[in-house]
Amino acid sequence: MKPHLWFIAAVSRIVPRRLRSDWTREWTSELKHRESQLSSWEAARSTRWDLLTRSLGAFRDALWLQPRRLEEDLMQDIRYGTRMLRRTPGFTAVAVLTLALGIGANTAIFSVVYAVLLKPLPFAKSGELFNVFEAQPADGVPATGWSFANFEELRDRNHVFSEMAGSQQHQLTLTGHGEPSVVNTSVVTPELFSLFGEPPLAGRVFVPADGKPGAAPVVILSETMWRTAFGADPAILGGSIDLDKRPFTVIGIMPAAFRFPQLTKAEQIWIPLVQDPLFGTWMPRRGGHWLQVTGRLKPGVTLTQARTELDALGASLASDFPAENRGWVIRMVPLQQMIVGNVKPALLVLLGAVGLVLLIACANLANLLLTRATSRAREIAVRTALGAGRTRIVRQLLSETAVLGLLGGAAGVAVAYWGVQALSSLLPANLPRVNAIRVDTVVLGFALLLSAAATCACGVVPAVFAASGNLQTNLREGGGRTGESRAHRRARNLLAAGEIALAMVLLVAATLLLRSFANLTSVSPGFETQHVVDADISLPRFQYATPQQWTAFSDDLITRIQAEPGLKDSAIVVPRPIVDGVVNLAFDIVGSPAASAAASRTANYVSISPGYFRVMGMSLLAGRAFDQHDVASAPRVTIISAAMARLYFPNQDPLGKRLTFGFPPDSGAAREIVGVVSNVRDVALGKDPGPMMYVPFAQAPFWGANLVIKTSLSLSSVAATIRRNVAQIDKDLPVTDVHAMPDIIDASVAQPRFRAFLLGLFASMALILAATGIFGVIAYSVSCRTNEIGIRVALGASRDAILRMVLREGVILTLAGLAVGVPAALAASRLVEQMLFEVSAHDPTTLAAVAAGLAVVAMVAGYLPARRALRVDPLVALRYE
Amino acid sequence: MPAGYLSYSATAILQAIANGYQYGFDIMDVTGLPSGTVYPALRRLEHGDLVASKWEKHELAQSESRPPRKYYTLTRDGEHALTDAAKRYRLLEPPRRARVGRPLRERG
Repeated sequence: MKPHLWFIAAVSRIVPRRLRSDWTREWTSELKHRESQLSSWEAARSTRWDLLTRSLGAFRDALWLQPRRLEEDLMQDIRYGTRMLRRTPGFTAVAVLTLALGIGANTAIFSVVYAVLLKPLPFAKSGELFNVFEAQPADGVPATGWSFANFEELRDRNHVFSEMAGSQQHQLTLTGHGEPSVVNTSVVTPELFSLFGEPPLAGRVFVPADGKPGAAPVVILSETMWRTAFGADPAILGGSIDLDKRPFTVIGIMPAAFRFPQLTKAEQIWIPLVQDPLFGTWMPRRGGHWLQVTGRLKPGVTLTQARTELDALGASLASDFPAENRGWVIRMVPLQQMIVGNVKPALLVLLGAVGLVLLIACANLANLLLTRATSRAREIAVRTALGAGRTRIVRQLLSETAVLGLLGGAAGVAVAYWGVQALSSLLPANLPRVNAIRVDTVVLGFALLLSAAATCACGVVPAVFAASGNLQTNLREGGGRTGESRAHRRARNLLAAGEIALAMVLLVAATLLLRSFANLTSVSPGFETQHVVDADISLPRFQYATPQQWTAFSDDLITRIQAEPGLKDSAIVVPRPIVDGVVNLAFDIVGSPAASAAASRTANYVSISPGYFRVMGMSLLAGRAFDQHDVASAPRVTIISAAMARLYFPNQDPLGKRLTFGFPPDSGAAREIVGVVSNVRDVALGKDPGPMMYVPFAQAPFWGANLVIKTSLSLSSVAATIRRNVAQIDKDLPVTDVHAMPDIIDASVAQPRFRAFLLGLFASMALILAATGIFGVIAYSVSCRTNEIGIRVALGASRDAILRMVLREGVILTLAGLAVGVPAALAASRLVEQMLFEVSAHDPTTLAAVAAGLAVVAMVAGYLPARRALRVDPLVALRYE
Repeated sequence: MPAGYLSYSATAILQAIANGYQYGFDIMDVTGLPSGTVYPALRRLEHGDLVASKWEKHELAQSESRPPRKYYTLTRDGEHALTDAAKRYRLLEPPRRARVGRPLRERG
């Protein structure tokens, strides 16, 4: 053959098959023609050379046609795949649904994880932002804020941060614009806005002069606040609003996206620290730890450099101001880590759990596909016999799976949209960055990636198995079900056992969390919650400036409320248990040696009006309760909790002992212990009761009051009565929160409930999937063994023997699954250990119960198809032999 | 395929076809372009519906005692594309009706 024709023939091998003959004809016909002309005209060799060079272009031509190969084959595969899926709508529906649930749940949880943990904070160069805090390792104080005086030293002396700002938050009363209302107030040093580099929507941000003592009071509104509370009135800029009855000039409006330090509150305002009625007065004092400090690291400064500098700074603060700073060190963490810190493990556990669900779904689908591929062995054998290569078959089966994966992914995104909506109503309101959760491009990309991964995970093994079948056997065995090869059966059994193992892990984790949640909600808080209503009234600090005014207000209020019908049992308390957090104060016992710095005596301090114990159903264990004689001028008294009595007065009678505090409002005066009262869980339901001391409100008033009322009246009527009475005293006082106590307790366990609910949901999905997995394996095995069972029955095997034989398969699968699942569950439960309350992560009861439950479910799933084996008619089964 | 994206060689090939040089080797001869350029360009043009191809009738080829040729003709889009591109490149003479290849227009 002539070299150019030989070359065309060689190159034609890479031309897509569909185009090949046409392509070869086009190239060779003209080459041959010219060749013949050459010989007849006896042309020069150079022309023959010309033909050869021209034939070389065929290679480039063939290369150019390569993409068509993919295009054509892929479209063909997809068309074929779609046709096959349409022909088996039941299978398709189950597969798509399984994938949709798996992908959808994963995508929804990922959207939460992404928004909360991964998405960079919405600030410029947010990686440079760090939270800088003080810690006292010796006393086990891991992280706390700063005093303003210490913050100034830190800001001015360090060389590693380009900018630093302090912030705090509390609530002020806004009056003069409709109903008096309470606004979330961020109390900040002026540098905050330049630190974050966020320009205002209108007006200006704070300048250093705004933070100096004596500066005019100014306020910045959030966009949302401006729109909701002020109707987006542009004239408010430069105007004045009353906060705690004091006029502030509005100088700027921040865009809605800027939320700091209150990350979840869209409605907030910012005022300079110096203007705050509470924290402003704390500024000159060096002791105290209340200011949250954020800094921006200078470009090029490493973490090690920064930490070294902070260590040195901490040491010099301790030597310059030993009274306040000895034992304290300075630490820093990335701002992002600080914000999401405590929810990270829970979210990662949820993400892992939902990932396991998808894995089980994939195993299930792989099993289904394996079954299909086996029953299609003859079709594939025919295709192979007709010349389809092995890769071609694999590709074709994979593209069928890819169609499934895409359909599942699309449905999964729909599930995710719905799931995110459902989640946002379920999510605890105090979850950081909850407003950033949405299905966005990153989340959609994740879903797509997941679909592709799922397709590969469940498609590859069946496809490779199918393509490697024995051609002759498969062709010879004719239609219908062919016997399954040992490798197939092993793969299917492995997948089913794997599903059991994974389901075991999820079920154990979920059961532990559910039991923990049940423990948490059944624990008694130590006080009555039924029929107790709670209301929060805060007093403007500028208007109500003195403790005498606070006492007068609360006396007036409680007298009025108690005079109302049905509200006799009411009292005042600050701070409320569980809701408010604790005021932990150090004290000394008169006559005892002063406690060392490392083991100081502290107790949680609560100010109450007489009758509080009665309202809350707490029992007096010794001594007396407070009464109307315990006023400011009377001898100072206190009642301590049983836990405090046990901790600080072991084997002694605490009554008559005297305590002193360094902290206002007592300022060194001694209080006599007049009673001991039962414990309450004041921090959280999950925390053991700490030492507590109660003092009469009249002797230790706060600038506000929380009413607790035991009543059988409805919540709304109680709220209306409280509002009416408060308005009669001062029409500018807002009554913000009126809640039933059970609701408050309920809200306090929102995060554990969320975790337990979701993990329970995922575990149920896993259980159902694993059960269908077992069902599928046994059912398929039964249908493959119809002949065998028929022969056995014909030879006289009893029903029991057949049932046992089929069930044994299920038992072996289950046992194998559990053998892997139990150790895996033990290992995995360590991940949830931190979230458990009064349940051990290795709780044997839970483990045994879950294993038994799973075994029962697996048995039932195996029994249903086993019954079908009993109905096999030997005549029918053997007819085809 | 928008006309603006026609390369110089694609324009030359279109022009050659319009001038009646209707099969691969003929186009190579008249444009001087190498085969590795002409054929991929033809595929591209055909893919973009600027040219259409058709095998010569067997009898016709046999009467000239040679294998049948694959003839390319301009589609209407191809004619427009050529007019536009020729304006841009200002090359060759303005498009003219084909000399030969009339018999090929019997397709429909």
